[in-house]
Amino acid sequence: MKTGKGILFLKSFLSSCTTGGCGAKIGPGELSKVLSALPAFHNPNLLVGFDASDDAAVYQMSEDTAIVSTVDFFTPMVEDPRTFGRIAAANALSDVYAMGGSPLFALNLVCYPEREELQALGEILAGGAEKLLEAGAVLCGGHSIYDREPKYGLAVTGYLNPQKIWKNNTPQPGDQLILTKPVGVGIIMAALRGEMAEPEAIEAALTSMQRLNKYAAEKMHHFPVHACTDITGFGLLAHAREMAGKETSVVLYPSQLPYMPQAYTYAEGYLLTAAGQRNRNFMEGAVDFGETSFPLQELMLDPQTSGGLLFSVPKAYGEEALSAIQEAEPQARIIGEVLPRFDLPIILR
Amino acid sequence: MTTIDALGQVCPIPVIRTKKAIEGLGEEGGVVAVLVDNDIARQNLQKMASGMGLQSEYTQKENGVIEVTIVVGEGCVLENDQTAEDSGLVIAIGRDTMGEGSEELGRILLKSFIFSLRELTPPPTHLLFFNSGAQLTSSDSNSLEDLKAMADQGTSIQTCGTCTNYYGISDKLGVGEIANMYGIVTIMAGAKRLINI
Repeated sequence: MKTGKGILFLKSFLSSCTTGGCGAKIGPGELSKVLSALPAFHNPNLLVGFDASDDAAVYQMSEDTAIVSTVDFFTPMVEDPRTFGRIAAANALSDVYAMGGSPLFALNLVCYPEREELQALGEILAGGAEKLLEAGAVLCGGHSIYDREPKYGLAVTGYLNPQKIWKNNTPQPGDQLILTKPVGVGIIMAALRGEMAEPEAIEAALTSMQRLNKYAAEKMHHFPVHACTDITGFGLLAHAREMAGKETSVVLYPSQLPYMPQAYTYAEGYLLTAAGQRNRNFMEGAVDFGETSFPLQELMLDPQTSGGLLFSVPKAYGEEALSAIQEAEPQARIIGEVLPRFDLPIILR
Repeated sequence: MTTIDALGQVCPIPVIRTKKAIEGLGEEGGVVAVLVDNDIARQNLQKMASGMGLQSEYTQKENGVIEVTIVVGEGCVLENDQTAEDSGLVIAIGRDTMGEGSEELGRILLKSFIFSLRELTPPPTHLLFFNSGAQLTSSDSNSLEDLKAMADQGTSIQTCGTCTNYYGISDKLGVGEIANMYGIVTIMAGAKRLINI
């Protein structure tokens, strides 16, 4: 992870970027204002479109094949360009896994400052290519333009069986919720920007962000999955709310939440991110926080870059599915359950 | 007052800098003013302040600048809210003598002045003590009885904490409460009439 030269190249970018990773996402509330004004596209083959706010689009090609398509890019959140490339690719691929699909091929999206050394760009792309190889997908092209801030990401295409789409908002009362990665990377990356992060914390966050969701997803292909999504810059609570939809309420257990221990400490010390507060504003009136402590609230609102998967599975399979996932992701936990709809979509207990 | 210019900075930087400034104030407290240019940073600063049990407020300035003021310190917080509404006569005493000339005479005059204040109707709403005036509220002040009597009648008596620290008499406060400069300024600004000694 330490390629000395690259660190030097990107140091100047990182300080020039206002916000990195998924923390740079346009707020969910702001975004929906604009999207609601767009025309709705109706096509019987479009099984999942953007009106569903799902992780990726799904388009049916034949009775047993659908393609899943997604695009993701952002500004650097780390200094090392190769690490940034890996994280961006893991993040872009994640949406395919979150739909229950397998990635086939990908295109690079690159914005890069004219004045910067091209070698760092090479490192970014090499990092991305590494992750595509690991995913078993093919890199087949891309597009690059000059820009003041570097940005990198991929458009990824995968496939799945249209009978087995993992939508994000179709959980059923009685389900249990499994989260596959610990939360807290947003707070740790913020601590890094504030030059307050401990090396172990940075290491844990970088490892987690580079980790493909492939392994957890593969385990779950052997279980009935009612719903699945990946945790992004909107934070765990926003995704839980999306999952709850209008028909169910989601109960989360703060005591079971997997998180990076240093992130808890930083949150306790009021290391507060802009994206975390935007997420809190977005969730206003949708969450009964109960007695949940402030640091745990912040962790549940923390913007994740390349976050874990959130699965909703029938209770009868919950423990067995968790054990299977833990073979690949030891920090996975059952973090909640799905109930018939109450007043609020999210209840923390 | 410590002012932090966090214009153009996004969280966590404004909250990190503010927290360091608050911690840098130490036990005597003070006021931290933070300039930010986005409302999310304002929200985070106030979230931190309320989490730390501190009072905060903000004002919207020109060109999208928001000034967040955080009060750090004991005693003054509730007083501020009351005075904003009903400061009547405020007497600020910044010395331990009255008038120019003999110091000995000055001390006698000031004691007499404070004694005479007891007879005023209505009584002063606030007595503020700072610099060497802080000696008058300490436990070995010879005006202590008069001041206690006024406190019993509802006069708010506040002494500058920085000053008691400076004179090493913080643990000898005989009447009223410790205030910081923000509290003192707020009371003065809200006064209907202000007498400076």
